[in-house]
Amino acid sequence: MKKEIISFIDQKLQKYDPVWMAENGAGGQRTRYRDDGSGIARYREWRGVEDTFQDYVSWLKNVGYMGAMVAKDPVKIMKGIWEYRWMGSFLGSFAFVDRIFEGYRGRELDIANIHGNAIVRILTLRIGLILHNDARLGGGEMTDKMIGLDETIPPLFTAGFPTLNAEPMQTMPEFVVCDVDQHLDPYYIDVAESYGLAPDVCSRCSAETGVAIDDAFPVFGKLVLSTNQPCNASEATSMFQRRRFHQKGIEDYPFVFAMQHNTKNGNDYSKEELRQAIQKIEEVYGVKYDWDALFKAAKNMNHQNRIELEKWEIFATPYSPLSGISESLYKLVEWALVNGHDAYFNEVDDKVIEILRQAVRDQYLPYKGKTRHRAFLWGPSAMYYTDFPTWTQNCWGINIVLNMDSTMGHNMINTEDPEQALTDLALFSEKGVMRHHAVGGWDNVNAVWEWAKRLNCDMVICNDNVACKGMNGVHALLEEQAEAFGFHFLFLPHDLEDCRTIPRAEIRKAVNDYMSIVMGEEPLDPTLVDFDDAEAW
Amino acid sequence: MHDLKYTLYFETLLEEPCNELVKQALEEGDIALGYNCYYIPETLLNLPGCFSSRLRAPNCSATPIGDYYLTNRNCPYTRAILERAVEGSYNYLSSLFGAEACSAMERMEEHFEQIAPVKHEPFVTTIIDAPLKSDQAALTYYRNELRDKVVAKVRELGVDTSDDALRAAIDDHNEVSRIITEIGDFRKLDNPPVTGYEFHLIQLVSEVCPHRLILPYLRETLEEIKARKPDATPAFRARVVLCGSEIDDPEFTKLLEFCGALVVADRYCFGSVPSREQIEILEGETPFEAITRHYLQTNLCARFMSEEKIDQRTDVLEALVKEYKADGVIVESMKFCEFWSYEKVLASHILSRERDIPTCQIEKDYTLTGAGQLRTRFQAFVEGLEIKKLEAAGKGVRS
Repeated sequence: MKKEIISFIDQKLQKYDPVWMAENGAGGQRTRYRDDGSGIARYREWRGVEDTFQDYVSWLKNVGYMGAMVAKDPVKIMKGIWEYRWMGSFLGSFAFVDRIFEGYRGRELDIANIHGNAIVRILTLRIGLILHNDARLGGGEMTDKMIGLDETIPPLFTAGFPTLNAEPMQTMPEFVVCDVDQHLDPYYIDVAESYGLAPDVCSRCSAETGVAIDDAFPVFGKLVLSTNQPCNASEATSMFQRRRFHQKGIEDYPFVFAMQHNTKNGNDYSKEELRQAIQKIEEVYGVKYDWDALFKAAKNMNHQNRIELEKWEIFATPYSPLSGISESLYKLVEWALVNGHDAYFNEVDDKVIEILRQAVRDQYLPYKGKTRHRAFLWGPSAMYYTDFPTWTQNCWGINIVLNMDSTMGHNMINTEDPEQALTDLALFSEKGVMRHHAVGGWDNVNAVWEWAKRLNCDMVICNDNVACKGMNGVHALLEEQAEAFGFHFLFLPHDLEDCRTIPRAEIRKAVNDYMSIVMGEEPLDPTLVDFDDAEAW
Repeated sequence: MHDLKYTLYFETLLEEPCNELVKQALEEGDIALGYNCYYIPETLLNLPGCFSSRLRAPNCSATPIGDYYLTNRNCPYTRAILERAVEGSYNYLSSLFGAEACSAMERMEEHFEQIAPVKHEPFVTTIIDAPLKSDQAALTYYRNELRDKVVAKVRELGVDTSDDALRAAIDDHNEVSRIITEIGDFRKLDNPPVTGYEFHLIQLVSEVCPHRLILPYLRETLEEIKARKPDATPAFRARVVLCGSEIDDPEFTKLLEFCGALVVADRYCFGSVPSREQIEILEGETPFEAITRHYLQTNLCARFMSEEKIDQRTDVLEALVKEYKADGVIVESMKFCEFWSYEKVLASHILSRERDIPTCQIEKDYTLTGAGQLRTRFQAFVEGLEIKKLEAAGKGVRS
């Protein structure tokens, strides 16, 4: 009876469902948006009774996480909003979560919301922790027990210091916030450029430099570990940031990894660096490294990676309801930010893998079976266009099966022998965000074809970050390889964190042109082909 | 001053990578080993039967092939080198020993393997991973990389890489360095008998020609400079230290000097600081260990991240300013160079605001396009330096 009532209501209200609208020539995803480029929707997406209810409950859960963050220390949160420009951008989080899972239904939506909740949970916890202990805002009980990490250093090894807390320095002020609000980082980029930095350097690093010059990093800990991960501009901006940290009385220690991370020499070196970084922390904080604590977190990480390997097998089938941004954003947060430190993410993984296994058993076709192409997204993606994979699916039926950054370190870490654990950790840590395949030699980049074949993709979309010197340097070779291997291939121009250089609309245009001119296809949802979201979050 | 006897000859040697002396050495049975970064010690390539050849792309005015492979948003030096490689300018080389000093350089070097532009048999390409610190772990890594990817390959090419051969290479390096340092030291005088342009020529020929063939010319030039009488009134209005990346075009120094700034010290990738310091074999060290330690210690690359190396960069500049009595520093960065873009801003900030040394930042292409704009910048900087000097002398000029 319940099913019939729901079905009756769904039928009555389906004219408000953008997916139905696009199927029936009555509009589409953009119909509910205002026409002024603001990206503000006039009403929530109607997804049918069950999905809309589920989505709304998930939305409420996110509100709960945010409320809990504020409730824990309302004064510091308010001070943080007053002090830091970037804190204001997090107000766009609701619009962000809605935007990235647009058009999701059924099991895709189930997983997306499980992931979305986990992401909001961990970010609110971490923001709350950082602001509560920010010396600039008065400090807290952990202020002197925190270690600043460059956000691209995989934090797993710090689990061996259970009485300390390692927090990424740049993630909140510059990195993840760019996912939420495309208009924040241009401010910091302008700060850096007005200081003299060339506009052709990587915009992520330029934004980090701007945060340093603007004195907008939270202040905590006695030590910051800077790094050369993932690439040249990262190394260079670290040298700027260290001056700001020094000014705040925080020591800087460069924790570097071999650039060529597939060699014995390189691995030996990274291992030695890891050993020295541990020694440095012991020295500065006066604590001993606790291998058992590391092993405990490493078990979490191994659990995560075992599931990850199984996920890849499922991704190779047409039945995976997990793909696109739901997969890559969660993976990025789980790998780069959590990195074995929080067992909650293991629970999330267990839940999601069950849904995936069931989907395979049921031969479930995601996105209502509308996928036309299976694409591997290669190269670092535009941070200011997080919902790009959602758009490709909704507009052209291009399912982004996996993203380059989701292939980060997945070797198992020994949980009994410290020496072997160090070797494993070094290898694991070398293959971090934007690094595993983007640097370290041609073979790493050229691995794209194997990945694409393994996951049964017919298309490779290669992010073309205009300021990435390393990836620029393989342009023609990749194009020639695509032809040789017979993949549909296109470059996707973007400027990583600067939405002004190549706006979202131009990114879409690259796909639109390829799909209509080269592939000769019609869009699934014509309202998504060309629209203005320049002013949106 | 009258021209040096070999000025024109040196200019000619710099016109093409495979110049007259390179051809002569090849005819005499030597093999040429290419490299393009200070991370590759040239001393390891100047062994009996082979010689080092630092890659330049003189007169490269357009880079359509380089743009195709590396995009036109990449380092113009690397694009120019790849362009010249495809054009056949490096077909005399038996190797390219590269360093992953930066992404652009590494990608360019990869193309020497992937598209095989150098038509020479045999031809090997290797790329070492270059450390970012100078501590013991970094030194060990550097040594391992050089041992496995350079020395081993040189040996495979049939070259003697024994300790005796390396010791002879150190002697050769020290002799070239002694002469060049002696010539360079004349720039410390108030009215030097050698210009920055001439010194640039001398330094460059020592990097692109076989040492045994260029040494007689260098020795003779040193003697000539010793006896040379500078003009009674110096033609220059200011003395500057030039600092930056891949400056291998002496015309750039000439342009600067036409604007009235004598380049008294050259702290850039092709310059003599670092590169022309004496290599000392410490007690208990093998020649290989001495060479690798020396090159890591003296390396001033903008990519080093450890505190002592970051400080070393600005400390060296400050010391050069004092030693060569420079009035200011010009910090250059190549377009699309990430390291030098950051270093330029940081060094300028430290030098001008914390150490009170006037500094001028410029960004340039590999070739001398935009010379007009550069001239304007240099002229303004020189005028600024002059005003400062007048102010300091109490001549009533107010800024």
